[in-house]
Amino acid sequence: MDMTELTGQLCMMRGVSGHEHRISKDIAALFAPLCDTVEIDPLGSVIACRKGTGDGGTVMMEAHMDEIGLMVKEIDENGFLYLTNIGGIDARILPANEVVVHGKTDLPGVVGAKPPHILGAEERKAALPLDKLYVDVGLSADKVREQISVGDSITFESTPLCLAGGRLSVKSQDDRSSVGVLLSVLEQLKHVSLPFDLYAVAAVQEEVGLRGSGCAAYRIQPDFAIAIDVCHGDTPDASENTFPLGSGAVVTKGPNIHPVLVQALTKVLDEHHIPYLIDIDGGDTGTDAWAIQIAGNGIPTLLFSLPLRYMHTPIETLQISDLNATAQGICRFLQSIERVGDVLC
Amino acid sequence: MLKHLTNLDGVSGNENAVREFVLEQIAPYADEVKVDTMGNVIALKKGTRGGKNKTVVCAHMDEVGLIISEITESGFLKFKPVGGLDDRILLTQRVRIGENKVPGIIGVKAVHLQEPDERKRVIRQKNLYIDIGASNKGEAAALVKLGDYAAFDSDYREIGDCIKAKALDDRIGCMILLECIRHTYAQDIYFCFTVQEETGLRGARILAHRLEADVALVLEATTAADIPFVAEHEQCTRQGNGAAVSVMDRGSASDRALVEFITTLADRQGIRYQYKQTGFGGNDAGAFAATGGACRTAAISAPCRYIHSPVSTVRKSDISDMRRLVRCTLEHLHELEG
Repeated sequence: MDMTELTGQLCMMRGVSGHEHRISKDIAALFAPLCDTVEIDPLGSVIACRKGTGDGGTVMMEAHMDEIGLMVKEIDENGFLYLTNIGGIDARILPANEVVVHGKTDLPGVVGAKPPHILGAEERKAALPLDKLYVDVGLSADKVREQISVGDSITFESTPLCLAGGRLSVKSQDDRSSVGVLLSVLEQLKHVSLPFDLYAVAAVQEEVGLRGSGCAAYRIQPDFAIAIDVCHGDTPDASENTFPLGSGAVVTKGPNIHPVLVQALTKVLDEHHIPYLIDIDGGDTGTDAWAIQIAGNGIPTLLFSLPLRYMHTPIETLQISDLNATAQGICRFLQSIERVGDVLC
Repeated sequence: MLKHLTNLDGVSGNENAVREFVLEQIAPYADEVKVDTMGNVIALKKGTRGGKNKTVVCAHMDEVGLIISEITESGFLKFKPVGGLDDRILLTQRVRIGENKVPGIIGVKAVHLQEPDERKRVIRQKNLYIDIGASNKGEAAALVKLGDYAAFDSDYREIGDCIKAKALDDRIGCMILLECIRHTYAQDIYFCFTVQEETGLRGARILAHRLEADVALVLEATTAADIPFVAEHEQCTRQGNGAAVSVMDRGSASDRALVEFITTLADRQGIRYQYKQTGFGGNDAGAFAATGGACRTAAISAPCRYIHSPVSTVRKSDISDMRRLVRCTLEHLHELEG
């Protein structure tokens, strides 16, 4: 499984939070050959399961499949589209970016704003808020209204770009690259028998409030869960709470994480010389792990993170070796488990 | 041809790739070709009747972009703008750097890591950086040299009724010149492709001095601000209203008789045109008008939204109107009074 290619394929799918129905079938199709059953739950999350060989319990792995994006809020008399955000977006990155508007068909567009020579001196210093930006699809108002309605979703146009150092830049790596990790784990374990049922969940609506993962966890009721999401990569303008690309796996510790499980996990990572760093979170990890932990009667939870630069932009960038280290770490950990209950003691 | 032209990288001062293509294209049609010290291309196309006015028609080959000014210890690249760039359009853009077209991205701190008041301020270009994937200075220096030029990585594609690409300013002008030089006119015409327009009409200045032309017609792309939040009187030009004829801009006042000559032809032929309605911007006409013994100038431009950005757009119908108007003007130039 070529992780660069797989990640690129997953990231080019277009499904903002609440609009994952566009992609859930395609994602389910990727899981199908690696699992015994695949279903799509009422919210749209993809739930895949490979059965275990005994009664060793149930483990759930999870990543979210939705992406941040925009939505058409209003169409003006000239056919320009006004915007609202779905998930957290810095409006400053939008001018001169390309987008795809998901109308009756997918329509390319660009984000426009008042040009600099028309702005006053004060206006030039202030960042443009989202309500001063718009999307131009290059069509007359009539044609726009034929194709596009208020409420249509908008995604970044962004194709995979390979940088030096085995790094990949493309939209939606938060969190499709983690969906790729789930697939990689399942493939590596394809011919390995495990005593427990192993679920892989690609959850919806993380970016608008961690909604899909909790419901999936409630449905599955696993003995424990492993969430995979992204953390911030190091850049010149951000040093705190960031991790260098190439760190390997990043494992979280804190109240969101089951202390005995994480101890067992790091022991396995050490034994197999898998590179990792520890991320300390004093409370809310801002990931689906936070929702899964309190689903149903409560679920012991682990969190892996992938260091990602420029999160929530069209140029999200990570290092493929970190994906591989994370997938490998999860495989070794799962293989170390004979009975799920034992790990939790 | 516009696709090929806009995909070539020719940031001001580094127009080689565009010039090579231009030289190859004009070779079969020009009677004399010269490249001057700065890199302007001067091609004489002899007319069937010679001509009383020494006439130049020109477009510029260069485009706005970046130049690499520093490689940091952690392997990121600092840069300076080449030509007029709005700081606000740089965030998260893709660029290609140097002869090997090394891919890079202009990074910015994630929204989660910003303080609320930070989000209200424009990030100045001097605080931005390019990420090429290198982990340290050595890795970066193996791929990129100081002084390498970086162009926007933005492909040519159709968006609705428009073309979207980088460098439409002024590869549209270049394309129309390359098309027009294939035909023969009554008047002798110098077809010129200039360098460094974006850094201050530098190439056109020495060209104007060398040629001492009587008449110069400049082909350009100009601002179309027919967009939300812009008052009607500030819109400059409007997409879909045809080629824009300049009356005056920041650098030159067009020759009244020449403008009237062009618009009369357009009216007679039924070619759609509009007047450029503000004095914003400038182009090579400024260099021709005020260099040496002075010269009569006019400019015909394509109305371009999001000009000087990776996503400039021009409406296809405006390109064909501009093409017809320029061709028609060149065919009748010998009728222009001296």
